[in-house]
Amino acid sequence: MRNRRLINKVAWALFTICFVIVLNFFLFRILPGDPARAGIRDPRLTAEAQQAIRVRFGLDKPVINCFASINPPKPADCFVNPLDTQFFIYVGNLFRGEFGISYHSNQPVAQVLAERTWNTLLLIGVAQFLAIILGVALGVIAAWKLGTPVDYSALIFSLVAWSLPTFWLGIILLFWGSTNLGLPIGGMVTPGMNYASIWAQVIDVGRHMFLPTLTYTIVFLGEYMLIMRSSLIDVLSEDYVLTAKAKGLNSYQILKAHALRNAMLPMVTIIALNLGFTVAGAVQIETVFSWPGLGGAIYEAVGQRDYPMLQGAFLLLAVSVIVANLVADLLYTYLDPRVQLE
Amino acid sequence: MASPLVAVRNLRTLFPVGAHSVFRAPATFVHAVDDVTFDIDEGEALALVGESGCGKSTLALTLLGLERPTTGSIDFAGQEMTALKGSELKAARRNMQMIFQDPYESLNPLMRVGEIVAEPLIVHKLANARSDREARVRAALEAAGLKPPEVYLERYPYQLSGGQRQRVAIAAALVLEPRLLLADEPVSMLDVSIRAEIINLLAELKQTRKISILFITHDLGTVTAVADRIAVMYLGRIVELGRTADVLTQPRHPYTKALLSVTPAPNPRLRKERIILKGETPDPTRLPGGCRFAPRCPVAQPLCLASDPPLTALETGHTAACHFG
Amino acid sequence: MESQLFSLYILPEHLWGEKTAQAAIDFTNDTMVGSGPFKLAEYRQNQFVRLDTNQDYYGSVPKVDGAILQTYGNQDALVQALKTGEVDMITEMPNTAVAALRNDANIQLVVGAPLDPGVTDIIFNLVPPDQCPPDGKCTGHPALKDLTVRKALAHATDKQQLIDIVLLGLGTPGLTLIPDGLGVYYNNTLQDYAFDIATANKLLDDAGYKDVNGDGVRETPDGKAPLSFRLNWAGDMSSGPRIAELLSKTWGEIGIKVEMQGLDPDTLTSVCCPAFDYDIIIWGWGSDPDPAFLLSVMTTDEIPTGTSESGYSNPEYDELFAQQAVETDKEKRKELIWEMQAIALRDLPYIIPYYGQNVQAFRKDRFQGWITDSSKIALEDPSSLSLIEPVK
Repeated sequence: MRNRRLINKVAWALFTICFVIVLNFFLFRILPGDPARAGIRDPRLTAEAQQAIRVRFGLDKPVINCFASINPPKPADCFVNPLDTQFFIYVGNLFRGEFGISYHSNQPVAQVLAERTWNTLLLIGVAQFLAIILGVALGVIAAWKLGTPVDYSALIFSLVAWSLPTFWLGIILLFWGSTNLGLPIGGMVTPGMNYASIWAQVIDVGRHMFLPTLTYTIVFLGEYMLIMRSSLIDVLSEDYVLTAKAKGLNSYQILKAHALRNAMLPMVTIIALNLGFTVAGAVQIETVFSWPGLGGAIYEAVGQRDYPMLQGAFLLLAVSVIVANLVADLLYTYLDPRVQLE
Repeated sequence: MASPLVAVRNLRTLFPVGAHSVFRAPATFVHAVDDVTFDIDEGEALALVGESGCGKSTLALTLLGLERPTTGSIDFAGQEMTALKGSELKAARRNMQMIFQDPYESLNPLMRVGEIVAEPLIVHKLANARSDREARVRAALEAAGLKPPEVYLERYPYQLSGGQRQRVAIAAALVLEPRLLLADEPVSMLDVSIRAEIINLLAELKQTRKISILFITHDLGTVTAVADRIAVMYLGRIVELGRTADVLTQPRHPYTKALLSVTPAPNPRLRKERIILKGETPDPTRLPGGCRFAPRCPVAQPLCLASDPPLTALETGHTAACHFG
Repeated sequence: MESQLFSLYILPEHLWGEKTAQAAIDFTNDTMVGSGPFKLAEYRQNQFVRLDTNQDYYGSVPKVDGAILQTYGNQDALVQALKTGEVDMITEMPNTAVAALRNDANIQLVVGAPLDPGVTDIIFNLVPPDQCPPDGKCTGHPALKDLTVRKALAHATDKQQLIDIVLLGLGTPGLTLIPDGLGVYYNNTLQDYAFDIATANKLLDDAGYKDVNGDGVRETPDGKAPLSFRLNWAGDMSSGPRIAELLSKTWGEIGIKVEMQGLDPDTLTSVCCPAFDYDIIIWGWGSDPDPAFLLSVMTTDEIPTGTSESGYSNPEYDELFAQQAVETDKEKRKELIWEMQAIALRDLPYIIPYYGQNVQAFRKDRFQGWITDSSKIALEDPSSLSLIEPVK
């Protein structure tokens, strides 16, 4: 039963990814404008040079059999070798881990994305970890002290934190931290440093990370706290909690043995979904703090109409959302025995 | 004569209501349990009957110490429960266990049956040896009618039927070998076909283990098989108390009569005239001056609106609170 | 001529002589060869460029050991970095920050034409349907082909207000596509159309553009079409909506209505040129230091290529363009170019609202010797970086 469910879920995830791969390809071909001109925006390019650019990026080949381009639709020979069309070259390259070459930086997209993703994961990983721990803790305290000043303070803090515009909070913290704490304003490292030891490097990155991490943690803390609080309030009103009280369990034991695990179930979904989306959601924070992450790369690529970068980044985002959902699903099976039957 | 296991005297539990917050003190109170007095003997089953909202569940929670009484005393096996705190309260609770109405909600969905039944032992630090604990869990499951226990130990609640779940709840109560079992509507959420099994199980436990039972129900029909005595509760008060046979055959309070008239009789030839009560139960925050039942009473007289009748002894062990009982 | 060389690359023949142009395009120039005052020491894309001083430089060797050019994700952070001293100089800032920095005792502001002068333009579709290029749609409003209407629009354009509101004062009024940042090639003798609603109204009245149906919008002399124009701008221009809003207000005062819509740059390209499927567009050009390219935008030859946005066609102008391209005498070429600007201002294929200025700033307590008196502002230019030295 369990294995079949697992296989089923993984198969669906793979199918979704295939669908995204196809969609992702055609989405960028439906956009108006000639990608070659979008990439190199110099009107003085001769027709020959433009053609050379098309050849370099593989845009001289038909999009797919029968279509030279999709927008505007231009017909082409239907009897070409399918493997010599843009679509199958794209799919084939994906299987080799190649995402094409960035119009803007002329570097392989996969290489740029890999470096940027790592930077984003470092920032978001730490911030999410802190937000989850603190959010859950605050939510538990608030629910436990329901209706007391402690609860109200935590509630107001979370509502404010949740509704603060990320960009604005980031700028405020940036001004505050750089003026009062002497923290760096932008980037991930101090340029041109020769680190005496690995620790010096870790400390330097840590100093640069502090403010963006703080911003990100505050933004997500509120959401986690509110969900944890309401989830725990629900659970605490369940009969099995009353039963546990009647059996003589004290507050701590009830929380530990009964309430927390049940209250965490909705949190798992939220966390997994957030983790999937936050790779993209860090755009604002990365922009404020000049963090060289994926969000910033997407932001720049949109401005530069760097289609190969965008295509690669979109695929990465879609896959991370799908994988996060899959992980949430599987984790749920593990955490909640009832799910197996469905 | 031996002293009763439970002696409740003038117990009163009030709840503040209305817009109360940290900023404002409550203005009114719900009289959930209002001046209640009764005893339960060792090995005796007392049925507490009343409509929903009459305060019977609050009474049970107050006995357990989960709600603090406003005034009054609860003597349990010679100990004053209302004075107990912390570890003493915990130790006393070991001897009184509760079974809740809805077995779908009273069991933690994430715990296995074995864990649920073993949990009270762990909490009260009884049977610390693993083998001892397992033996007690098995014994409790068997006593609750879940045989053979091995089949159930590893199951989750969602894999069991309603009746089986209620048996798990009973097993989890029995594992501590309590002297008093508080059963709050233990069969009302179950299929009719299973109700009798659970009631018979409770009756059997009373017989074989000499466990005292407070059986809370809104349905007089379910109590005959298990209860020795019946207490009828209306709006936080006990209005009639007596031996099961006496109350069922010679009800003295109009409310008891009304309850009995709507209970399906086992023998269709004993068909009675149904007494349908008029009106709604009064708002428990604003009680009428005289007899609480007067506004709905089919035989009320002007006297009833003026003075609140006390519980009056009628014959041996049978009391009722009615001017005309 | 010397500035045309700017975009010609010198390749060593012994390495490249036998190779094709394609090989040059495919070549990733990873290990760069240069001869400037600085050497590239480290490069992290979108993070920073670290330059070391080239001690073997043939000119005067810079007095600093090197320079780091750091990229910031937003301009507010950039200003803050200068304030806290994380950086010593910034090359751009939001115009809103200028006032605050001006009052900072440690900071010196430098205002002037940017090194790579850009120009913001208001483009009119001048292509008549019977001269439509292949693949063109040529749906432009017929009234815009009438110079009188364009003159009226120019008189109804309050350039000073645009500068004050859109640029917060950091700009100079525009004339033609050739910005003042191009130095001698900029014709500073031309007389602009003064902002004067009365004159504009009179021009239209006299030419027969009357509001016959009384809805506040004038109609063409034949009474058929109202003077209601589509006004589009590039969605990536933050100034676009503000310019459009201000134009619609003053143009509305002379009975001309605009339907405003920002468009994605690709969509804008597809409606612009050579499709000519628009009425008026707000857009812009970047320029190199020579005016030749910006002048070419208004030639007849560029209509089918899409470089000409307005579809302006004037044999006299085309002839002057051909002459200046081969004129080797700098002064004579300047004269030709000045004349072309006079023609462009007369014929109004574009209204140029303003030329933007660049504001840069440096910390006075760190380094001194920045070049601040040049006509163009570029503190980051090696010429400036070579001269600076630490403040003692």
